[in-house]
Amino acid sequence: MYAVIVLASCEQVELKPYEGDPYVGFYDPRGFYMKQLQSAETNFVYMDESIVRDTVWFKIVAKASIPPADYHVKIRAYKNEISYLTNLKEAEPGIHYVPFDSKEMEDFLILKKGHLYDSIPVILLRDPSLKEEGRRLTLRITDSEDLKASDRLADDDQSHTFVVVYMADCFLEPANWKYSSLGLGKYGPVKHQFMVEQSGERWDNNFISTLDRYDKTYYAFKFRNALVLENQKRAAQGLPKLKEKDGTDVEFS
Amino acid sequence: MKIIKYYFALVMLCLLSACIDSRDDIYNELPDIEIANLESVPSEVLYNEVLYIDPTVKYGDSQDKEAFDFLWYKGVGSSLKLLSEEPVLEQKMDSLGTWNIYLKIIHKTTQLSSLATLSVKVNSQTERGWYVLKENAEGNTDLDFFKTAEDGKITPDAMADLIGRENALKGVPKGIMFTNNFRWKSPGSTSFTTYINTLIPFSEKEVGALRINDSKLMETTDNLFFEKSVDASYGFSGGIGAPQQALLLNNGNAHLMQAGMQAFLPAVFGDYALSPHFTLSNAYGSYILGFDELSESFIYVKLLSSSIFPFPQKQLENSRLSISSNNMKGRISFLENTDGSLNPQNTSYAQRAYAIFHENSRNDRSLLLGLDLAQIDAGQTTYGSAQFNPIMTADTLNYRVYPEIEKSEIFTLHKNYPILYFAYGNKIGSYSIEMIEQNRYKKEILAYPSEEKISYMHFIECMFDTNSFSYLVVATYTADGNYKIYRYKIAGNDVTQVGSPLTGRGKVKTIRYIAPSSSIMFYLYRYY
Repeated sequence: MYAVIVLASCEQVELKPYEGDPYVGFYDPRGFYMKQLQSAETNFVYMDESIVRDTVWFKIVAKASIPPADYHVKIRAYKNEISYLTNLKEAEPGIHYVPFDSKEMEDFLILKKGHLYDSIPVILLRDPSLKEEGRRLTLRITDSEDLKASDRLADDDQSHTFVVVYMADCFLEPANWKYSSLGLGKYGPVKHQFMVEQSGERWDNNFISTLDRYDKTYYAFKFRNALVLENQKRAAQGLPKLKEKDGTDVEFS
Repeated sequence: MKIIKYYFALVMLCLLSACIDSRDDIYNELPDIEIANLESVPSEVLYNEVLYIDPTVKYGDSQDKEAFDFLWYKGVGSSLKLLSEEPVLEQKMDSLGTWNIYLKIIHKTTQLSSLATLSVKVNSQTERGWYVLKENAEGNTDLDFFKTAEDGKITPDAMADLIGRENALKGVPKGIMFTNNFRWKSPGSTSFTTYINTLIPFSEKEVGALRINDSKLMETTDNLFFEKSVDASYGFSGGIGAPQQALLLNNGNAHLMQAGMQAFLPAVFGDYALSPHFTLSNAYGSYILGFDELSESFIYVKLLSSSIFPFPQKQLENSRLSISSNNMKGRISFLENTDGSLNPQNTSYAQRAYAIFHENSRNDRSLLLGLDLAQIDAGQTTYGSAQFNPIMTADTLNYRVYPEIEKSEIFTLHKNYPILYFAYGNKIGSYSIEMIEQNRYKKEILAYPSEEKISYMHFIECMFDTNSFSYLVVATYTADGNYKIYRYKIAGNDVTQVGSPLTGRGKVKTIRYIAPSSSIMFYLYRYY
């Protein structure tokens, strides 16, 4: 009898598919919670003058369910006051980037059917103002007609997770210059250009993040020597030492 | 009820009859495959030795190996690498570390198999002993190695030509350096291996990085510079391996390699031409003391120096001299350190150096300058650390009085006492710096057969190995292309040869004794 009871109690349970709201968020590559999930940078200064647009992509991830259809993703730019972001003016829609509510962007801001992961673009524009200073663009995901933003811990912008784009058409202090122990002294755009010319490297975030302590020692040596030669050459031509716009000498120390 | 009983009995009968063995099907159990004769396999062998394993296989009453397939594997990470399919393994152990060896034996007919495993540790052959940098018959640079056991016993047959005849560094040998912290990215690897015990031999045209444990030449010349020479014109004249950095002279310019790096940095900037003579103090972070032939000044080089530094003119209070270390109008031909203080105010700091200085205006004498090495020790904040002129004493070596010194080209200092040894032709003399005039000079303390010319002489003090020693080491060469290396214990006036000479082919330039000791770096200064 017991055997009959045991046998009768085994039955297959059916799993019901998720039927709640679909969510989407920016992908967090590091796997732990930080507000800034991704960053990108574009500097037109390294590109040919004929290039007037550039695109950066941000990875997004479906949450709770795989989309059964193409879903529109809505993103919004806002002014972020977090202190560790490079202090730049905010980029302006239509001037520095293609507005997200434009027709052009409609077909791109999509989380495609059947995709757990996807990517959305931000199209940057080479405005002349970028030759004078860089701009910053902070973005968060908001609710669209198809999708809800997965970050619902707080709705005020300053508490929300975000991605950031830096753009410029001039030499800009890389975000990791200060804390990378480069041994190259204070940042300056003229110094930056000199370093690019001497090494053939961009000396942007991406490049700096590849350097280990011995690479940094090598470059410190290289630039110090090169600067002495450069200043000697300038002196022979009756020119002053290499200086930043504010008149301070370029120095590597 | 009766029907049920009969029915039950019938069922039981059927069940029982099904379990009775058929008299026509007899099952014979197969024997196990027994692998034996592995007990005699050594648990440790030397690098590049051939490991020989001849197992016996027993299968029931048979020991016929022909009936089996043999598969020998080496564990590599989480996978297996096939070594051999022969019954007897003859394997050259060509990598260091522990080898996990697996033997699978499969019976060809039954496909039964058995597995045996064993571990064999491969030890370096070249981590302890004497490295001899020499000029070979072709005028190029190579290395011989004399293996030494922990008790100091030297294998007389050298492992000759470690760099290899076809890979010998081009040009005559100039020097050798050691670091315990070289890093290298092997071909195909994406990351560096660090803390590699490495010898850096250099000739007049090339430099190499030799991994000590297995004598692998990891890199040569171009790949040992962050910035290769544009026209590949290298001219190496000297170098020094300090604990924190190595310095290599290329066309008179100093290239530094910090411990932990994989290459030499661009040249230290400046207008200078360094002499190939350098020395250190016993401080781990000692500056490098040298001489600039352009400014004719003693100089020092700090860790990752951005320039070459002269010393200030300020004299130590107790200096008996007022000879400036700058613009000296001459050159040096020798520079080495020894124990003992030259500063009565700082007697606890027992490090000094001597240099043989040749004035441009004189050819009838040279000066033996005593230098206070506290000046290249940053920890000596009161009386040293480059605050003062390092020259403390000057002995005149009048060639009329000391003609053998004039003839000598090779010098060395005793590392515990201020005694200068000089070699001329096939003879060695000594000059006791602090003894009174009558007793200080011995024009001959050692002499060799006339066909042997001295090519190297150095006092080598090894305090970092299980067998510590202090020897005067002398190398001679003969016209037929052979060398001999002699070792002497020196006690006062007694000079006693130790062991038989080591012999080899070529002309010795310099010698290093290396041992697998972490404290070796603290004694590097003894070579200079």
